[in-house]
Amino acid sequence: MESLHSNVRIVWVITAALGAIVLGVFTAVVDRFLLDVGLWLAAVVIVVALACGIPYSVARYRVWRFEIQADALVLERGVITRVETAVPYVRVQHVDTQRGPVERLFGLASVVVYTAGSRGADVTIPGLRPERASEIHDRLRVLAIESEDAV
Amino acid sequence: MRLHSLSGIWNALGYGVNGGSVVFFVWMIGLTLSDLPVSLLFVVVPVGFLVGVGYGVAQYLLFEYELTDETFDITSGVLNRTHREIPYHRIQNIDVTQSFGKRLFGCAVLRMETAGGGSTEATLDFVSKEEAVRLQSAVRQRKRAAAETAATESEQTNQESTTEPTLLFELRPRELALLTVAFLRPGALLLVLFGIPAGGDLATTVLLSLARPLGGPESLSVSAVSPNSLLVLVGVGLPLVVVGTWVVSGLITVIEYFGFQLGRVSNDLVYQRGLFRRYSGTIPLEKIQSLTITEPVLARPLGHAGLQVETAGYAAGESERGSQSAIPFSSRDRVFELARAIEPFEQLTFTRLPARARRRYVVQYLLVIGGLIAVGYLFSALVSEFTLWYLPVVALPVAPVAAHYKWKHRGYHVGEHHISFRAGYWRRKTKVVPYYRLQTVFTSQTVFQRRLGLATLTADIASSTSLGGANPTAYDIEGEEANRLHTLLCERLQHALSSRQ
Repeated sequence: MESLHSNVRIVWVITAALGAIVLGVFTAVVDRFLLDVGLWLAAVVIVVALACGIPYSVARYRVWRFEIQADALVLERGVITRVETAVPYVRVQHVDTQRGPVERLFGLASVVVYTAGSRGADVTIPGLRPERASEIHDRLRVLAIESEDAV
Repeated sequence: MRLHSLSGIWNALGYGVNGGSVVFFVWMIGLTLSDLPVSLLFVVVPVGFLVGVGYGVAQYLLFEYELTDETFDITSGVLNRTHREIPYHRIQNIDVTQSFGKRLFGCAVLRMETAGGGSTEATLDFVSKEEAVRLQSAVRQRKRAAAETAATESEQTNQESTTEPTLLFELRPRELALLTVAFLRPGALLLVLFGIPAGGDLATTVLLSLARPLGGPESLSVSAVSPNSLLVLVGVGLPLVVVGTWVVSGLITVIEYFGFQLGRVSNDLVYQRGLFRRYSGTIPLEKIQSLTITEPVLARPLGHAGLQVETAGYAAGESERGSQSAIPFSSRDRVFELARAIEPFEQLTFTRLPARARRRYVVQYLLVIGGLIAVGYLFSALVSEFTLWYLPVVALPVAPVAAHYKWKHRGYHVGEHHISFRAGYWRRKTKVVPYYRLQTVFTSQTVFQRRLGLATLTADIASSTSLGGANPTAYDIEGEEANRLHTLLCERLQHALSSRQ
């Protein structure tokens, strides 16, 4: 099984930090107009959010695994709820490669696989080097076409 | 072909009224801002009306549909012209809806669904009933012809096979009566709750006079209602709401399922139903993704059940998207007989969940009750008159019983060509999924499940019902068993696909 590029930890930590800041600003606004406790409350919220977010990002990276098997793409992920997904190539509708601003900053890309299913209609593999992402993209496309021929 | 001429008149009038009223309101706003002459209203409003009528007529005249050999074509639009071609083999369902008004004029709305997107692909609003029926069967025939030429190009197609549906099921009055009692719609609760304020004084008088002997408030004014008496009021009101919900839900059921008939035309199921508004629809057998057998708690002792089929498209007029009733309500034997005619699955013997799962449910329920008590206690500390914070304690003895029944009705069955899931006490749903319909397979374990060695397995299919409906999911099964099933399902899918070649 393949794990993600280690830079993805930094991407996730930054995302978590941005979330913490938004939460902090929100707390500060609520405090200003409703509670009037003091700005330290917002600081506490930010610290707590970071204290949860940073270890979570690291743990998330440690758990994330994927593999391109013979018939299916297999993913293993989730810190609190561990999820194992198998996406048979026959069911792949289309494949996207995405690069968000933070991801681009750290030279990473994501591959998104779409199926016709209702619940897991899209499956994302984050934290890939762009070369690896396009490799996986092409490989999945070929496998999807091949397995289509077999049916 | 054009739509029914009445549709043009109706459409023109609708746009006319819209046009007139828009001009009216804009003029009125203009009046408040500047001193436009009021009398000019009698000129501009009719002009707005006429423009609207003109647009409506143009829309009617410019809307044309055509049955070609391979596609159903629609050309429409006044300012933005759209030409749409729908290949017959892509059409999932064809629904014909007759509202009460349209029935009086012998007209109907026809809708065609394909698998993609959440919206209807083609709507003919509206055509004569005969034209709708003609289109329905014509599209069906062309679909079949397209499928046959695709399968065996050399073989001659005989289109003259049966077009008259053979009747498979008809809802008898007794079954409809039982259905109204046994099938309680949660949605009816909202209607009742919104209906009570509309009922006005009568509703409040009845409620107050019933609650007073038990310690209810004298009136509904803020000064007379103490938190305790409010609780009594709720205690008395709740059964009334339940009865009301039941009646409303029964009425909706009758309106929806009156005169239900299911038939079969070659490879399609066709149904019609409805008291005021008649629905008729087509379900192609080869597009069915899964079957769901529903047994409400009151129906189980009667040995009755309902059957729904899920397709990947969108179903007109059904509460759950993509799910259609094949049998609203009948004896279990008949339901299973028809279900097996659609998908031949074997006798279902369900594997129960490990006993640890039941313990997990007890703990879950206890946590909910504990949470309620905690919230109540906090509230009582803030509001001194509220003293009944410990009331949720009465639910404590119920928790293990509830957990047991939840556990008892959950299970799964791994068959030769299908996997089945069962869940739900109040409305038990059994979902049968053929292996070749599987899309993706998920196994998930929360922290607590991991501690107990349990896992939840989802066999995702391409239907749109999963929100709120029965998921094809086995909850809290043995962890190792989940792993085994996970690989097994993937293998069976590959196997089923290669053998269907």
